[in-house]
Amino acid sequence: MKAFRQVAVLAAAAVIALACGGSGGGTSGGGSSSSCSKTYKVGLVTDVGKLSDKSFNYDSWQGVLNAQKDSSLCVQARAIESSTQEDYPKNIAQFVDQKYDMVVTVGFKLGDATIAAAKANPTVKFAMVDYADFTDKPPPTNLVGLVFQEDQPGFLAGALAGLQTKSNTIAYVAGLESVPAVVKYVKGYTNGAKMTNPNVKVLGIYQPESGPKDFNDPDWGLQQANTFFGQGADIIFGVGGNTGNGALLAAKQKSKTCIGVDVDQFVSYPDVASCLMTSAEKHLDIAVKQSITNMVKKSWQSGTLTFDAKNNGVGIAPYHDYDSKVSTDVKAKVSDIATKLKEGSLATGVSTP
Amino acid sequence: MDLDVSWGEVHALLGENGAGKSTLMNVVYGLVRPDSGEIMVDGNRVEIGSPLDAIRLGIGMVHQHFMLIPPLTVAENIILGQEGEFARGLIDVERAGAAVRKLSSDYGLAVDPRAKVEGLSVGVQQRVEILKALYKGARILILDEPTAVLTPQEVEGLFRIVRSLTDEGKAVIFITHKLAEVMAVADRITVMRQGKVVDTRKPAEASLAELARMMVGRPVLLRVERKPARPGAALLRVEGLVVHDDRRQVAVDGVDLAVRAGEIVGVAGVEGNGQDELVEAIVGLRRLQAGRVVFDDRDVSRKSTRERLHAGISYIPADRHRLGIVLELPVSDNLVLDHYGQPPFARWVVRQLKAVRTYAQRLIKAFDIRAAGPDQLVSALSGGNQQKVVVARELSTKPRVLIAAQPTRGVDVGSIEFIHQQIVSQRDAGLAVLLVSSELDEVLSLADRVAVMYRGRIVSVLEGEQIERERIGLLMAGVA
Amino acid sequence: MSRRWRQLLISAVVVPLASVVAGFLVGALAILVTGSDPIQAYSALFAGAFTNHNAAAETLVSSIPYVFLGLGVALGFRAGLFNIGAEGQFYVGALAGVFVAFSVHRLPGIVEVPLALLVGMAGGFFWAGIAGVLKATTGAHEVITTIMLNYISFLLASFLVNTKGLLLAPNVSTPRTPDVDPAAVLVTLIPGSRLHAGLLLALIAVPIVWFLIERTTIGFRIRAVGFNIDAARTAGISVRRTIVITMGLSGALAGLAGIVQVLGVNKHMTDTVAAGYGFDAIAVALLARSNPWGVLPAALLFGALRNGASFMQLETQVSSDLISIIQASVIVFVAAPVIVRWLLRLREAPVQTLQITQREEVETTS
Repeated sequence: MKAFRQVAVLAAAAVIALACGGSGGGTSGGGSSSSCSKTYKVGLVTDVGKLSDKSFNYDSWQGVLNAQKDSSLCVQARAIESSTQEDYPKNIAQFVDQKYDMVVTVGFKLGDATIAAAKANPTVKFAMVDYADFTDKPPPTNLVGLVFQEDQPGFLAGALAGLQTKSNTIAYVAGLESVPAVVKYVKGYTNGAKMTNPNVKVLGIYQPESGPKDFNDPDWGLQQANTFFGQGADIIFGVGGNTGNGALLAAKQKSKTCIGVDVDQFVSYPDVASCLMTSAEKHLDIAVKQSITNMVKKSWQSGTLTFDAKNNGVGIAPYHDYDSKVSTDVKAKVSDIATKLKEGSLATGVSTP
Repeated sequence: MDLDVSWGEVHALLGENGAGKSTLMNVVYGLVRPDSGEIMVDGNRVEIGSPLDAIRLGIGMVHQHFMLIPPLTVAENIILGQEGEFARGLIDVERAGAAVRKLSSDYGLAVDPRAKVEGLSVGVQQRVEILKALYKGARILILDEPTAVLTPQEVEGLFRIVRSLTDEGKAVIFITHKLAEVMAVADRITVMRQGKVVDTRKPAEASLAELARMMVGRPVLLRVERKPARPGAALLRVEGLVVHDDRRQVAVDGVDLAVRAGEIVGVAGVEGNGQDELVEAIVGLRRLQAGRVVFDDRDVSRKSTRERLHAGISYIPADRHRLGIVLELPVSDNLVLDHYGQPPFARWVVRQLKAVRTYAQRLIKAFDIRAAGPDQLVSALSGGNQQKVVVARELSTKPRVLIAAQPTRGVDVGSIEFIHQQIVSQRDAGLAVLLVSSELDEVLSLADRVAVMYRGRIVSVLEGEQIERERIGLLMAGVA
Repeated sequence: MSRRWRQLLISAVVVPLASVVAGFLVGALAILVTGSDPIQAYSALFAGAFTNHNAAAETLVSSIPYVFLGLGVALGFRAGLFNIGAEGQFYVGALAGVFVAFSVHRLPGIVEVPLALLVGMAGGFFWAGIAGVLKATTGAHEVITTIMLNYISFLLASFLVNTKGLLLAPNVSTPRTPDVDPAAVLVTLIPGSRLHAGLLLALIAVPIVWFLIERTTIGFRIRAVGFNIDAARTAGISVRRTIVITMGLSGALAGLAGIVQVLGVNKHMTDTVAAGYGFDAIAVALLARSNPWGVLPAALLFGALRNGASFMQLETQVSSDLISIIQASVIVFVAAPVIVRWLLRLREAPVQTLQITQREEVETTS
């Protein structure tokens, strides 16, 4: 049959196409050197934000990659991106089935799935980034929740904003109010600003609707930011994934000043580098790498692992392009506050549960 | 087979559907490659591998289904393919229009170059097709069934155009299956049957009956033999009927008409005078604005089409492909299209395919439908046989009233004869027939009474001796 | 081989198969561009879909909703209706069914399961029926109305599932409904896997839908309307009623997919439970050429792609988004048989083309 011959030709073309490209394959290079007696396999499952989200998944994955690069840890890492939240259990199971030693899951949305998997697979270690709500007391011993004191970097960012604002009006555009981390950032930001500048006015809004666009509605973020600029704000803090990124973009377009969140957005979101004064960071990479190190070095801690100023788990990012626009005096003041937070001699005034 | 065409002549290619006329012309136009044989133009052997080759040789073709782009203007359609000559980025509409205007005045083909094709009547669209071919430099023009879609008046116009073309020395090949037309327009007639040339004649040397015999391969009755009607009680009455067309204009304007059992009432009229709307209103496909439809002394005006059909009204719609059959379904399903759900063809909601097939086999035989079997797709049948499927379906449900709209349009001579005989024999068995036809000959040969429709009204109902071609023609034109 | 069978073979088997091959080729190009090895990626995809531990069972789990949804969309196609709203009907079916399934208690499974399934189907029937009624009465195109109804159902599901006092279960990190009654859960077919009895329902649904289309008077009306709406009306078929019923049945199958997914896999409902299945199903139905039997292999293919994607990413770090590229290309080739025929040098005209046209529906006097 002529038709089948033609299919064969197509198939042959396919093989040729594949063969030509055979040499291109390159996955993230393995860190396991010859000195390793055992290679630890670590898998990471993203939430629906993807590895390229310039924020959460990206930074957590950097932590895993840093562990892989550290030859003393003998880690080999892989990631699976989740397309829908229905895939979470399945993607975790993929790593378990492949006999991975540890699974890192990113974001509170994977919480239920991770806890269930930890209970079902006691020999595998699980780390949840930014989530530690355990319904079981005590939680499974193979499970750790990595959480952050977001009020501290928020406080630092707010302190800086309070010193830098010319209109005495600053603003924030935040994700869902039902997510405690978001609220802590915002409250820290507000308190920090009020401390350095008692006359400051803080405008802000949380994303109201709960739906598929949680943390992923940059258009809305941009719109809200523009509203605040119209009300006189000259600095905006974007707190909430892509929604917050929308606010940053608005600042860039209107030549205002912006403050990023979670990671150093100068690196992760270079589009807004020109307006970015700093970012209120949680060092997800440090936390993730720490939890992997605990697993490899047999110093595993289960339960909740809190990262704060003391263990360098949070902070604010470098000023980058704003270095010249922030006076030495202001820098010193902010640095002083950071040191006091680290020592514990200064509190943010935000109650932490 | 052999065929030769001379410059300055109209050469008619006559044959039934499927006799091979169109295939032959597709070979000449480069759409189909011949298995053997050769084509010569002006004595030189030519290779025609594609329509482009044909156009270069001066061969133009007007297809049965027009190849025009409706939203474009006449001029745009005509210069399509050569629009570069009028364009430097933008098309120079003025210059293109002028070129088209000159061409149309040269040949007496009046068209407005700026009119959009979608707004033109079928006859004018055909002129655009002819102009398109002439514009591309056609010296040999092939017209494939050019009258199939035209009204009698438009046919007249077409014949005049064909004449003026041949006066210019061009050759025209006129493909048709209509006998009267070839006698009227052709210089020579080549009759084809089953892919072979039967004979080539001049009109003066041939009679209608002889041509028909050559086409069909056996003697054909050109006039239907029928006994005088013995009408009974009125089975179908329409009273004071007012119906709108699709544009919500009044199309049927207060029509009263009665059809009695055992008679054929013909509705004559130029197409577009409300006949379609009248028929659709009777079978329940179009809303009544006023008046009522009475079947067997019962008012059925508010009944659905299904209820009317099941009560005993049969309907042969004018547009076979659009309304009469479902091309993608087999012959058997088409034969039960309007009573598929009744016993024995269905039990509860389950179709009884065996019963359908048996029934279909019976009808295929009784109505001489040339199909491979009941399971063959109806799209694979010739036009005549498709129409026989419709006629067989509508006449086999023991109807009491038959609404037959253009029952033989686009049907070959052999099938026309058969369909006419069927209608007449059912009339003799007591069927009330309302026949709507734009072919005056059909009305004249079948109808016991003739109602002439003009601008939505029945202007006259003629009986017996009153039924004359001249008189009806004048009434149709709104003169009398 | 007779001409007709050859034609059938080409249109029903060769062209879809070639479209799939071509889709994978386009996918391979995309993998190459991103600097990975297509052979490795596709091997991992295959392993993740079939040969890994539980992979075959998981592929079947992913295929089950595709079967119901594909059948539903295909049914619509047969009447010339383009039901884009399967995703939304999935939600409404799941919502209606899950409400029954977590509200009932202490009834035997033989009662609870069919009850939940029926209510789920009714939900889908009702939701799609709205689009059907709108089309039949006002001529509003079903593509537009079903898209709009999708949004309403997404937000409705989100609202009900996220709101305390409505369907939100207490103390959960991801908003979801309470678990369904244990007796309402579809039994697991292979212990240790998630493969549930929905597979059997899907396998039964195929011949039932085939029978409905090919052997019943309803199916005959659906096909007649789909092939030639004017001829159908002329033959006395009520086009309006057929449109409403077809849309309803199409939606009922989508709703069934939803409640089966809830009772079989999740045991509760989230506001993302449809997970794009309903949109993919349009592709499944196209690939199946609207033939119920064709839905089975098409659903299996899409289930395998969906299920194998994560292992492919694990093994080769090729993004699971690649699957969307493959799916989309397959559909481009299926929807454009001309391209495939040209690639294969097949001259014959397509046997079946999908018509999406706005038709005027004026019916009899009322």
